[in-house]
Order: sequence, then C-alpha cells, then structure tokens
Amino acid sequence: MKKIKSWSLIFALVTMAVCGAAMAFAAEPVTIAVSIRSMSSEYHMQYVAGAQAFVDTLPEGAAKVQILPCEADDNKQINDIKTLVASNSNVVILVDPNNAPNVTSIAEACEEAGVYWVSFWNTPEGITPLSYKYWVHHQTLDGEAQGYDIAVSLFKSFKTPGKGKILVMEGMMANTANEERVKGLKRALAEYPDIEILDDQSANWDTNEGLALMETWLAKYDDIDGVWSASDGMSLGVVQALKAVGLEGKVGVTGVDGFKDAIDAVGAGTMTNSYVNNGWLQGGYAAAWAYAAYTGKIKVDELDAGHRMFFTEGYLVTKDTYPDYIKNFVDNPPVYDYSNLDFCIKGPMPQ
Amino acid sequence: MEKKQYTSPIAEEFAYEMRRQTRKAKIINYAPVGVLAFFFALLSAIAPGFLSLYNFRTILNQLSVPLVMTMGLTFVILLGCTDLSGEGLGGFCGCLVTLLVINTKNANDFGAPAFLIAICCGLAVGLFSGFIHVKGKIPSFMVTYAISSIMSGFAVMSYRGQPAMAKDPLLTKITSGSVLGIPYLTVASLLVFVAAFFLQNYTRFGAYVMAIGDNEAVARNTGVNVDRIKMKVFIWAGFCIGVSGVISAIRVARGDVGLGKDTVFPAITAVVVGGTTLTGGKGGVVNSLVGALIVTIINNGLILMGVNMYIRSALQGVIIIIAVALSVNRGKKVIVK
Amino acid sequence: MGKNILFTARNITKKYPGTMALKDVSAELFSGEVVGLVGENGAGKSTLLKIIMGNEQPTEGVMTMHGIPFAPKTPIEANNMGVGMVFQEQSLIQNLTVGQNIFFGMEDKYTRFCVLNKRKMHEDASRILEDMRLNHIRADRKVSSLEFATRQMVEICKVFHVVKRSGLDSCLILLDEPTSVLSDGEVRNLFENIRLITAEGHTVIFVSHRLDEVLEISDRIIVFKDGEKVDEVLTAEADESILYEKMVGRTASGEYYKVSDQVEPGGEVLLETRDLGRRGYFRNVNLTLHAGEILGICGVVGSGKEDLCAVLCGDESPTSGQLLVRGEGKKFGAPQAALKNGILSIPKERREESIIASASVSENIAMSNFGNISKIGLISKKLEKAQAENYRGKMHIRASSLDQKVGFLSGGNAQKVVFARALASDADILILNHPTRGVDVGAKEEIYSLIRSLAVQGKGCVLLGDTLDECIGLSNRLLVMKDGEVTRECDASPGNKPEQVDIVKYMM
Repeated sequence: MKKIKSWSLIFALVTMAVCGAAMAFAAEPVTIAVSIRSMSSEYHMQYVAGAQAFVDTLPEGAAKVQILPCEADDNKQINDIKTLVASNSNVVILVDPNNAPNVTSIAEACEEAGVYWVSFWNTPEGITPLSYKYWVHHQTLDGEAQGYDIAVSLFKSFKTPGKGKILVMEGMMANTANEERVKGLKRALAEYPDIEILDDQSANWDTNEGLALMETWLAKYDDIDGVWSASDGMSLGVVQALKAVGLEGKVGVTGVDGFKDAIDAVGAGTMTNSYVNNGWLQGGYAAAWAYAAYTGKIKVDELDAGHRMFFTEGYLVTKDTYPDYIKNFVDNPPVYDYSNLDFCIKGPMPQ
Repeated sequence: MEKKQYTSPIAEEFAYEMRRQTRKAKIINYAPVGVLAFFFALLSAIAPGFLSLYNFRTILNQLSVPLVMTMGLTFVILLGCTDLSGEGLGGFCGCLVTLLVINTKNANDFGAPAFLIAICCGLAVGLFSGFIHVKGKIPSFMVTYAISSIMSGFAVMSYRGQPAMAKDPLLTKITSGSVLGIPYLTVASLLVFVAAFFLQNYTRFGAYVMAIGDNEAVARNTGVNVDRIKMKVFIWAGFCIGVSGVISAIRVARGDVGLGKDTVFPAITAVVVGGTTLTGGKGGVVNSLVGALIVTIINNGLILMGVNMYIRSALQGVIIIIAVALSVNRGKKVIVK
Repeated sequence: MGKNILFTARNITKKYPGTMALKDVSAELFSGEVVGLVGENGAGKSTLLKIIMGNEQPTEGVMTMHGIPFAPKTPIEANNMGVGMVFQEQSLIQNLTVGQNIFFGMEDKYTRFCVLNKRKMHEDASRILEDMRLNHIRADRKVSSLEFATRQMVEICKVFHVVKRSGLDSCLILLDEPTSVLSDGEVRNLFENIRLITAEGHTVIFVSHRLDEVLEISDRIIVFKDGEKVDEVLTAEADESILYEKMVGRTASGEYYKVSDQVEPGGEVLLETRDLGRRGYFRNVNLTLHAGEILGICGVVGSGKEDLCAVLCGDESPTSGQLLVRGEGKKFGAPQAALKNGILSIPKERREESIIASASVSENIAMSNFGNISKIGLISKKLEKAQAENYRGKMHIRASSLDQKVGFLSGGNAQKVVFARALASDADILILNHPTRGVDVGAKEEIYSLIRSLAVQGKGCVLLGDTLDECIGLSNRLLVMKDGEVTRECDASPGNKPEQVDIVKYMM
C-alpha cells in the first residue's frame, strides 16, 4: 500500500515534469525570458509588466514573456539560463544578475548560443557589453543620484530645513546598490553640514529587521528628525515602529524602489519620499532593445558605448509629486513609444 | 558474622569520579542562566539606554517571534531532528493573515479568525512534513528544507508579486496594546511558552519526546509509538511556526514572503545557546527561553552600543560561539559533528 | 521453596556469522529461587539473557514461561509475560524524574484529559521506592541529577515494578552485572530486595563476575563456558575453587597458538609504566614490555584492563604515575600522539573503530602510514597498490580485488587488513584489543601466526585476548587484573604456561 502511494507520487511528479517540458518545446513565438531574483519582489514584477507591455504592442503571437525566478541562487540562475538557451534558440533574455560575478558566465553562455540579452543593475567592474556580440546593453539606475535625491528631499522637509538629526539604515552590506546610495547620501551630507548622524546600521533590505532596528534605536534616541533608509522594504518596517509609539509622520523616512505601500505612505505623510525605479520603463525598453537586436532592426556591434551602458530615469515621489505619480503611473500604467529606443536613456554610465 | 566487604578501593574511586561528573553536569545545567546574567549585567553597564523601561518593552517585542519559533524547534531538537521549514512556512502564514484581514489586495475581512486560519495552515503543513519524515524515512532537515521552499513558492503565489498591506484597525490595536506594560504580542508568545512548558512537563507526550531523544531504542522497547510522537512534534512545530508568522505579519502589517527570512537559524541558535543539545534528549523549553533572551539582548545591546555595522555581525557570531562554549557540556569523548 | 517450574529453555542455540554464541542450552527455573549465572566473558551468559528478553531470537530451541510456549520478539512481549531485565547499560531517561521513569510507558493511570498528574505519580513512585527501602531517593528528582549508583538502584526498582505489575504470581527478573557500580550498602540493599521478591514467589537470574556475591545470593549456580552450559550446582555444595574449575574453557594444543614460534624477548624495553593509574578505573599498574614480547593482560570486563589499554594507546589520559616509551616519559593527549611514538592500537570494535568500511582494501592498509607511499605530499596510488598487493599475498587476505570495499569482507579478512596496516606502519608497540573477536576458526589461526611474526620482527605487543586460553597460549608473560589492580604477574614461556584455573582465581 505504502509502495503504491509513493510510486503514484513519483508518477505524478514525472508526468508534471514531462508536460512542463513539452509545453516549453511547443512554444513558437519569441520567448522574452526575464531572469530575476524572485517573483516576490514588487519591483521585479513591474519590470515583468513593462516587458509584457512591450509584447502587447507587437502583433498577436509574435512574442511571449517567461519568468525565470532564481530565488537568490547564483547557480540556479546560470543553470536556468543555460538550459533555456540550449533548448530554445528562439529567445532573448533580460537578466538581473543575482550577483555581479554571475555576469561572465551568463555572457559566455549567451555568446555561445547566439542569444541576445540585456542586463540590469549588477555588473562586475571591467566587464562590459562592449566585449560581447550578443550582450545588447547594460542598464541601471544611478544609485548615487537616488541616494542623494532622497537625502536632500528629507533634509529639506525638516522643521528647520537643512538641520536635524538622522539615523542611517543601510541595506545589505557590500551590495553595489547600497554602496552607491550611501555614496549619494555622503555627497548630500557634505552639502548640508548641519545634519548630524546618530547611528549607521544595516537592516539587510528586510522589513522585519528594519522594524527591530528602529525599535531599538527608539530606546536610545528620543530626538530623531529623520531616518535615511536605503530601501522601501526597510522603510515600511521603520514606519511600523514609529506607529507603535505614535511618531508616524513626525519623523521623516526615505525610501527607494517605489513599493505601492511606500507610495501610499508618502501620500499619507508617514514617509517623506520614495524613489521609484520605474520598472515599467526599464523592462519595456530592455525587451524592445533585445527584440530589435533579435529581429535585426539594430546591429549591436555598431552601437556606441553610450548605448551599451546607460542609466535610466527614475522618479522621486514626495508629498508634492504624489498626485502626479498616481495619475501617470498607478492609474494609467505608462505605455511608452518603444519605436524610439533612445527614450529610456538618461545618460551614459561613467566608464 | 563478619561484615563482608563487597566493594574494592577502585570502586570507591569510581563512585567518587561519577559524583564529580554529576556535580559538573549540574553546574553546566545552570550555565545558560549565568551567561544570560553576565550579558545582562555587561550590557546594563556599557550599552546606553539598555536599562530603560522602554527598552525592556522593545526587548519583549523583539523576543516574541524568536521565542515562539524556539518553542516549536525545542521539541524537534529534543527528538534529535531539525525543522527548517520556518522560513517558508512562517512567511506563508504571515502572507495569509494579511490577505484575510482588511487589506489592500482584496475585500476580505475575516478579523481575528484570520489568525486562526493561518495558524491552522501552519499546523497542517507541520503534519505533512512530519508524515513525510516519519513514513518516508527521509531526514527531517531535507524534508523541512523542501517544505520551506514549497511554502515560499505558495506565499509568493498568494499575493502575486505585490504584497498585501494590512489595513485592519485590529492589527494596530494589537501592536499598540499591552497588559501590565507587556505588549499583547509578547503576551501571546509567553502563552505559547507556557503551553510548551506544560506540554513538556505535564503530559505523556513531553515525557516521550525526552525519551525518544535520549534513547529511541528504550522508548520503542517500552511500547511508545515513536512515529506518532514524532509526527505530533512536527505538528506542534508547525503550530509554533504559524503563530510566529502571524505575529511577524501583525508587527509589520505587510504580507511579504520575507517575513520568515532569517528566523530559523537564530531560533536554532537560541535553542543551542540555551543548552539543548542538537543530538536530542537534553535541555528543554526553559533552556530555550533563556537562549532566546540571550540572543535577543545581544542583538539589542550591540545596536544600542552603536557598534559599527561591519563589526556587528562578526561580533554577534563571536559572542554566540562564546555563549555556546560556556553553556554546553562537551566531554573529550563526545563526538561533535 | 516451592518447586513450581516457572521457566524452561530447551536446546537453545544461537549462531552468529562465524561464531556459535550458544550451543544447545537447556535449563529449568523454579518459582522463588535465585539462580546465579557464571562464566568467562563471551561464555554466552549475555546472549542467553537477550534471548529470554526478546532482544534476540534463538536460532534453534524453545522456551516456556508459566508452562506455555514463550518466544518473545520484543522486550514488551517479555514484560507482558512477567519477564524483566536490568541491563548493563542503564536505560533510564536522564531528563525525566525518577517517578516518570518508573512509570514510563504506563502513564494512563495518571493521565486525565491529557494532563499528567505528576504529584500522584511521584507519590506512588515514593511508595514503591519505600517498599524497596530506597527512602533516600526522591521520586521527583531528575535522573540526570542522581549519582550513578543511585540510578542503577532506580533502574532495578523500575524493573521490579514492571514485572510485579504484570499481576502474575511469579515473575522472572534478569540482573546482568547489577552490582558493578554499587557501593557496599547498596549491594546489601539489593540483596535484601532480591530476597524479598523471591519470598513472594518471583525468580531472579543473577549474573556477576563476582563469585562471592553469586555464592551469597543464589540458590543454584549455572556455569557457562564457550557457549555451553557445563554444569549446574547447588550453591550449598559449591565454593569458589569448584566454580573456577568448571568455568575455565578447554585448553587448546600449543600448536594452535603457534607456541613453537614463540620467541625469547629481546633486551630492549619498549614500554614501561610506573604506578600508572586513572582515577576510578585502575591504579598502581607497573608493567614492562620488551621488544619481541607478547604481554597478555587477563581480567574480567570492568577489571580495568580495557581502561589500561585506552591509556596506553592515548585514548584516555592517566591521572597518576608515569608512562615511559623507550625509557622516555611521555604524556599522550590523543591516539595520534601515541602513534607518533610508535604505539598503534588494534581496537576491539573493528567496524566502529578500526576499518573504514567504505574504503578499499588498499586504502585501508595505507591509512596510518601515508608517509611510505607519498611523494611530495601526495599519495601515490601506484605505491599504495603495490604495498597492498604485497600484504595481500603475505597475509592471504581473501578479497576479490584490492579495490573491494572492506565493509564487504568477512570479519577475519577485515581483521587481516587491520593487521596489514599495523605491519606497514613504523609502530613497534602494538596494543591488540581482542584481535580475534568475531573471527572464524581458520582465520583465527592465521591471525595467531601474524601476531607471532610481529613478535619475530621485534615488535612488542600488549594483548587482551578474546578468551583466557588464547591469552595464555599467545603470551610470553601475563598480568592478571582485578578491580583495577594487578593481582598477579607470571611467566608464560613455552613449556611453562600456567593453568587457566590458576589465572581465573586472581581474576574473580
């Protein structure tokens, strides 16, 4: 009896696996694969939605979006991509490399298979699309500018603008995005000498940790003007901690990523700002570029450096810009003119 | 009749040696309390703001999730097994709660029963992992690790990329309310502790768990249904994970799968620091309460001291190794893996 | 004494691969008597007890209890028939109270709505302890906080209670070396309790190495030797010397132990101890081991010989005295340190302590001495193979190939691999701890030849023999230990071998 049970279980699993594989093979349209950390990230889902928005502008059945979540596992990401390019040449890939060193392996796999791909966020120093034929471009947001912009907006919101005590909540240590945002903060601090930093700690991008850290800080400091937090995930934890002691809205809180909940918090005044990455723009144009390379509309090796590595535009949501953001992004998700590929480029990345 | 002498001098020596070891074991039993007292005294002296009423509240607040988690894990570890499902399962139960109370994603409004539903889910998944572990004879850490991944997947699917923000005023009421200065959530976690204490000491189940961890062959030979007890332990662990997920969700009011992140290993650490051995049979829930307190106050104290964040996690690791070294009995002959 | 037959065993035989643990044993036990079971280590006493308890099943033979067939598959079945046993290794749950242990598995009576009434449990346990005059043991204490001897008493109390509880008029209690850790007063108390319980009509089987105790408490004594029941005597008609005579095994011919190959030891002293002691295990041990000498150590389990061995090979540290290797005082913290000084041990539990079952024959041989076969720090597989091939031929290791996993070899061949490792190493002092345990007869002889050839090479061996006969037959000299002390040292050169009886006297 037990045997039968376990065999039927195995049979069911095998059947599922086979059906899944068969479905993958049967795909005829161009697959736009999006390799991301996990489907639990709201930002990544915006990115996917952007790619989908681009696909929707194409004729019916020309392309489809496939998500490859890697669950923060380097090997899984590489293996998924290798498996995909080996089984299907009818594909372009948009990748958020889980860790910078992963980029080389992905680049080589795609180069070998002749599959066009676009990277965003992470790339190791010195490794650029310029040395590869099928790596269309690398795009990212200017993290330094984000860190600077949210800091300045926070400082200006203080009772005495430009003067106050802040706490710094960093994301994961040694993470590129975190380092850049902190660099931006430092630049802002240099311009605002009256801002005093009480403490500087990491909460690992995590809401729970952000909450716990803020609770502990509140036990030590009773005169806080603002919290510079490097991501919305942590900021939402900070807001919860402030709420528990009735300080929400009285202490400024920054954020980056543009989580819906963070935007709502900005609207409600419990957060000062949130820097929206605009995944719709990024995903849509990344797909458009890769698709253009695939169809031969652009010749990758003829593009200059500024078109191979660039920053995209984000959006700083504050109490003032909130209505505009809701109107132009939330209520009517942006649809861009994907025929003008250059639209998404804010500026070239410094080499 | 002359008094006959049975024992030899060497037997007297042996008895003396055994007495010495028993005494040593007794002292080591209290070591975790000593470690806690030591860190408490140390942090009171050097961490600004540590000795304040507000900070005690904070510590109690931060204790709630690890405490509940350790209460479940203690029983699993007493058996000599492991349960790693907390990360995914806790996240799932948390997400479920936020989707069932008034929230930004759907029109649900279950109110308090939402907590019950989520906890029952944890319980059911615990039963499932216990069943696979016991009947399939698959190592518990493998089973529960897989369950954790599966539940993470379900958690993400439950909100499809956009986590729900709980808008239920009930949650705010819970997070801000307190009895005798103790936050509701901490009260809830202490209730779980009381239940665990009761289970361990005043039920047959508790005695059998100890017996299986100490010497499974003896338990089997005495007619204990070892498989059933093991499954019950995983159900209890599932319950605790469910409760801890719900508490996290109530605290942050947001149903992100990350709710369970980094909860399992700190909890295992707390269990070990408290003096429960990973091989089973020794220790118990009181030890784990002490362990959870040690881990929580160290975390809290280091932040209050404003230790540089780069050093903080390294320092935390060092302190934990020291705490374990002080509180765990290790003979030369004990093989530690 | 009522002459009701309580338990019978007919023609019980137990075979293990390679050895015969019990041969055709028959016995009858009456209600209300104490039967002593004596014999050397490995004579089959423990095997018989395990069969009665249902831990093992006999290969042949039948048993009855209360006149009905009795073939327990588990200890619970045995318990239900009124059979209980106090094991040599304690089976109490450390983290539970005394009361919880006594009533372990029978909590129904104390459970109301899932709640355990511990107070009532402890009250009842106290009463049981009082009945056994163990008033000083508190039922609500955790077992882990009790002294070792007290735990033993609790264990005994638990078993007495288990069998009494079966409600049968007459039960059978097996006590396997129950006194080894008890103090004088506790032994007396135990004996009183045994008398009380037998007066109620229960029967006790008492196994001990201490003949004086057996003679005092039992009504009859059954003597075991080499897996056979050799005699059964009324205690009234026995004394220690009669028992010694009966217990000693048959003496094999000198040829069996290759006595003709026995060499006169050289002059060099390899190993010497001066008043060596380990608190609680042995003390004041003085021994010298010369090159080419085989030094046999005799003694029952618990005499301290195992612990002495452990100290010699660096597994444990001594607490007093000196250990000299080639005249130099040494302190070993670990077996590696002993090995560095040329001391290699061939442990008793082959599968657990000396072979790597999943590694090949050649890898196992190379294990302790990678130096010989390494080039610039890397192991040369070619040299490893050549070395193994050499020993395979010399020692007749029967393996399908050198790549065969040692786990698949027979006990004798696996042991030969262990010896090959010893030969290949530079060690010149070997601690042989039961080198022929679990090895079949043919392989035993080959191992004896090997031990002889080690001696011829000038290596010194300390030998703990599997049987007394083997120990006498192989050794140049003998040390006899009892209760942690050396009770006799004697010569065992060819033609001058002592009789077993003379040795047993000093062992028990």
